[in-house]
Amino acid sequence: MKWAVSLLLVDRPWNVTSRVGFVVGLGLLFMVPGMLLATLVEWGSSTSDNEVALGMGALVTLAGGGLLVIFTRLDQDMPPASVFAAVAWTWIGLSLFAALPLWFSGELGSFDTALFEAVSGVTATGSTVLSPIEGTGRGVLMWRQIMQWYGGMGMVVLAVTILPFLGVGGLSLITAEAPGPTSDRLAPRVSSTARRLWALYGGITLAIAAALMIAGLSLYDAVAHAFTSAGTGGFSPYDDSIGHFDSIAVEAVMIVGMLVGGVSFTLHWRAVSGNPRAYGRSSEFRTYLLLIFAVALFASLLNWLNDLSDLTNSLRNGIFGAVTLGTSGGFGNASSGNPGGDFAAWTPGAQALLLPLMVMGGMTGSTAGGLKVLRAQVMAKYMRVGLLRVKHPRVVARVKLGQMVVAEPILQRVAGLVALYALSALVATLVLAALGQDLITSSSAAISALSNMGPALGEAGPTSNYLVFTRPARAVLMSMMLIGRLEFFAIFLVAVSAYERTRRLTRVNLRR
Amino acid sequence: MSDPSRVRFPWHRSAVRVLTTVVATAASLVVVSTVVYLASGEMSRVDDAIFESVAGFTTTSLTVVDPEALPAWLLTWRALTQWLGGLGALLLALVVVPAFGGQRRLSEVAEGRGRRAVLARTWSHNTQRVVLTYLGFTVLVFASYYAAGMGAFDAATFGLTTASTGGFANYRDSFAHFDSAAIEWVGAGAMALAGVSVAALVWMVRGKVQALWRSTELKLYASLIVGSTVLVAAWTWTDTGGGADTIRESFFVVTSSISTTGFRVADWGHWASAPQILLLLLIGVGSMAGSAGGGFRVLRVIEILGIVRRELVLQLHPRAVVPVKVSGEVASEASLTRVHNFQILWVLAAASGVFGIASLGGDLPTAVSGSISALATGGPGLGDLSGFADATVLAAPARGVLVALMFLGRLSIYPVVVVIGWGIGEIQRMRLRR
Repeated sequence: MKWAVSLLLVDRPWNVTSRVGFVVGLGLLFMVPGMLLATLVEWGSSTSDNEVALGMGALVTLAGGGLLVIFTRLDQDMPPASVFAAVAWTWIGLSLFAALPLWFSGELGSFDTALFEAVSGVTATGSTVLSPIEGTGRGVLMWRQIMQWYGGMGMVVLAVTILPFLGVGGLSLITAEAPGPTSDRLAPRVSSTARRLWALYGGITLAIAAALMIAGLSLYDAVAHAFTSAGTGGFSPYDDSIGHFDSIAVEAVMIVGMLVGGVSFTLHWRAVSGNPRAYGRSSEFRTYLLLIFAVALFASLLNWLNDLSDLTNSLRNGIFGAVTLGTSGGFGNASSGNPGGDFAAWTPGAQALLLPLMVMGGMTGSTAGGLKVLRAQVMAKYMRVGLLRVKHPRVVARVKLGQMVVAEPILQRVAGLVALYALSALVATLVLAALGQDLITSSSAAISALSNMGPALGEAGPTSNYLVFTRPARAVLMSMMLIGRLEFFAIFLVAVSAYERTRRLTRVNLRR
Repeated sequence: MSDPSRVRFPWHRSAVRVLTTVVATAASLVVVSTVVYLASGEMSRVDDAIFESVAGFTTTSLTVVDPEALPAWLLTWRALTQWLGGLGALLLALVVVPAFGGQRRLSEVAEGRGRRAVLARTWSHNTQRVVLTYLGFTVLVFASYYAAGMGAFDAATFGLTTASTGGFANYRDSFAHFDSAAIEWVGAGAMALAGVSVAALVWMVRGKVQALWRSTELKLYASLIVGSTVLVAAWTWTDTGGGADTIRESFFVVTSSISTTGFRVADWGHWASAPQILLLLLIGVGSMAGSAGGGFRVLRVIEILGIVRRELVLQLHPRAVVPVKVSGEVASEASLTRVHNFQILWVLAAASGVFGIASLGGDLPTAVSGSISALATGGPGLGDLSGFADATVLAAPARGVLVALMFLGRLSIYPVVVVIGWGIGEIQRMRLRR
């Protein structure tokens, strides 16, 4: 294995220096095993025969990734611009290639629906355009689940595991990709940090799969849902999502699974390496649980008071709904036996509580999307300091997180990101509305896509399908998913630098 | 011009005292007006009277009465509350806050970047200018309405509610009652001007074209109006028949929204959702800082855009020093911090409002738009609140939420929060003393 990797990485005289191309190529290569697994599942199932299509997808991806890796070479240093470019292009490339098996299989019709499903998959969003889901072959369904598993942790993190010589660039790559403002090192070496992240992720996935099997699911169902709950994705091979099983045990396991996926992996690592108290000591963790369960409680009570369902059912659905939106999971537990799970049909007050939760998402350094609990905490403290300064203009007040003082420039950055989120959401809402959606559908879908949530409110609720959006609207949603998954900067900066490059080119041409 | 911080002002030491005075004044005005409404015998419920008074003094166009059933003197009083509310907002922003001495932390306009926006040397002189400009503008609006064909009484009351960006009308169907293109054009133009800062109005009167041209805020405000008018007209072209009527109606609803006035001319509830959402966004953005209008303010939007741009540059060049500029002047870091804080407070207040209205009986679109619109002191919204609907579409408890939002929004949130915080602190201290 090791020599095979070093064979790949060896410098060849014909190589083009391209920092971006190399990282993209590596990311593609890592997707191949997942595609092969999906092909295997398809081969093993008797209901459909898309083995060739899935195998072709794997082959093309292998060829594309292989060519990129063989013909490009990495520079030792990575300036910030190329870090962002590498990450952004990796995700765009991944989405394109991940769409291939779906497209080849013909289950999703045209390429643009396949691409939407792929983007929603690799960004661990979970908005689907596959309809109906249940008639589809198992291999294609499994590939959807695997995409979300990959996307939850991130392909670049995976690429970094075998790039020991990336050095500093590696850490900034992880930072640029991993959700959240912090990138704690779990180990002195970046590559071992990345390796540990993936090991933890794999372990959590296995544990969830085992728990789901104990709760009564088949191996296939358990693995499929473990992939997407650890990655807080939200795809399910059933039209009713988790509601298909209509089982409280399964829902309980999924709730725990999503909550675990939404917790910072740094905390998990500390707990695994013998310090389980790390959870309790993290104020972000406490806030995370508090917010989710407060919303769950209030939403349940409101639904119960408005006679939507009895108390136990309200609580069951309230907790599931709050967790699925508070962790950016995006599963649904509504079914004909339990119609109260459709949160787009909750009382308006309960829905109003869900919206802030959708914006927030999970903890930093987790697989969840959204603005992250830590940022919300920082902003709340920042506001309190601001109010204190109104009263006592010369007061020396700092924003503290635990023992750590958060410096003013960092506060400004967090605030800037919040503003960026708000602006993107507003623009997306307006564009979606211009393409024919009402206020609640367009605003919640914009937030849902930016937070990599999946279902939204209004017409895009958990029992609905994203085919309600027109093709251009889906294109907007796709870009919002990518922008949200990479936390704004990567995609925007690539767009900006592309614009500047073309402007520079035209200027040179004019001078000639 | 002199630094406004050197201006003497009675309470220049304690921000809390000034703010308490402001909040208390606003509250007592509301009480007086409530008494007037109740004493008139036209309104029987206390909560309705309070709502009408708050909507008046906060220059919001939400009403719970049928204006066509009110006597003329009460209509005049209703319009006067809005006019006074607008004057109060101007004085708060342009006189009280700049006079804070070293404590200009709350400042909205007349500070740092706004040196040019400071009107005059002393606070008394400043007050005089603000009042005179406001009076002059009101008279101008009155005269234009009269010339466009309104009756004298209507012209006077509509003049009062236009200049203050209030939006109370004497008729259930607001401006549609007149059914006159000339009056609508005048109204739209007056609303557009009412959303312009007093400083810019003074420049206009004095013909200082350069100063006007330099103002980023004015340029953005104007382009928002023009751009939105084009968009709304394009989106509603088939619905409203096309031609000059559509353009006029679009211009009217756009200026009515962005200036947070809230006069209605068309039932936009039947339009496609895009123009509705655009109008709601405009209400949220609001007018220029230093005008009688409300909302988030165009100035703050410019600063937020500058901050976002700076963040993008900083990602590429982590050690760059990137200033955020407004009208060619560098905005101070302290003012940027205030914008951030205001942003959070605003979003928090709006989100609580949405939750409050939604759980007290409004549906989600009504709750979202009503909350934003009340916080921006606008009025019209979406869902049940669209078109010519008044606040009676909501149940009394939900209207209570609107009252709180309007009050918060008109005082730019800060004073109320600070005073509440101070009150809680005092109570705690009293308990400790025991």
